[in-house]
Amino acid sequence: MKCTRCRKQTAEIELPWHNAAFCKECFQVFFRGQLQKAIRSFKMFTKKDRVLVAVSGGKDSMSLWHALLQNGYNVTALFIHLGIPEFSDTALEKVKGFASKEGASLKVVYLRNEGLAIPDVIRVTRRPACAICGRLKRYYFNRVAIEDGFDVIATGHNLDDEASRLFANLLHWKMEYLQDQSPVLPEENGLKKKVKPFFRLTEFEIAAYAFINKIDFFHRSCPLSKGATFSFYKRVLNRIEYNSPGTKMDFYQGFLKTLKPVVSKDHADAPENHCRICGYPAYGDLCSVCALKQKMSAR
Amino acid sequence: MEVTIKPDETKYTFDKPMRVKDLLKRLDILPIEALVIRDERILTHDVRLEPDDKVEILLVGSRG
Repeated sequence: MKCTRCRKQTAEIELPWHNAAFCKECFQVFFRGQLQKAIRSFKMFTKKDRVLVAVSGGKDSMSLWHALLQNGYNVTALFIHLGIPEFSDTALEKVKGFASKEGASLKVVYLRNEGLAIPDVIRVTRRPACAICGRLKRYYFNRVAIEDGFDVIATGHNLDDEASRLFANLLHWKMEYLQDQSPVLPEENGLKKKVKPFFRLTEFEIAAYAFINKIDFFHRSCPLSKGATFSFYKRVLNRIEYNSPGTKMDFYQGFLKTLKPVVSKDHADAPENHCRICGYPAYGDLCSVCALKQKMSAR
Repeated sequence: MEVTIKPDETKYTFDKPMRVKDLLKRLDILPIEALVIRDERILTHDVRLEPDDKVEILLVGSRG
């Protein structure tokens, strides 16, 4: 099979949803084009902005970090060390290795130093690990971005993440979550602007990018996230995509164009206060993270 | 043909030649859920694999 772009080289990456197959070099051009289209069409950031990239060591965030550096953006990565034995240390090694190899800027927050190591928090609160972990990560991404003067927080969420999340929200008619589902969340109410520059790219495309560019990423799944529902929804959507290429992109883009504009943001549920300790949006006197810290230290 | 599925490192052996597409079907893996790699190159689904090939299948799904 020949590359559908240059028509000279042997194709390596076949993308039925774009009716295309690319050689290595043309795939890099395609990938960069999709990234730039996402960044520009949603006015995510420019080369003047300071971008804080949230990295976990996995293929999506590591590829995003790599791609933004390659495209000349002013990027610093932030890794949240969750305090999960062995898992968190190995992920951090990958992240540090990449930073060293690329000469890239990296910040690390250790949740154990905050009294909030994930295994300890789960033991005390008995809440699901993913819910706690997501909340703490969002909090520290925002806090570091504000304290260190970053303009925007970028995450490695891809088309599969967004489509499966949309699928789940529609299946259960979670209107409050649909209102917030977007490649860009503007800065408001003490929260920094958040963007998802990979929202046009699939997991397959990002894995191919990581492989071609020899990005050494962390393959292991989190030992605390077994049986996550989104994985099942991704598999269902992949079945549909296989039978009808392009459906995933149509599903998500269709939402952005047709449903999103009419699902108006309802601020009735938004926190009205700010935490007296850290200033983060809060429903009461303290935000949920400062309240959790107090609970953990009172053990 | 030696096939290793990553990251789990599960191994399979096949004696007969077959296309990438047919290999994935036998392993119940959707083509959009894996990169099939031989000699450091990603393969398209029409490529024929030979009995003496060493093949890696890299599952692409985010793993939490």
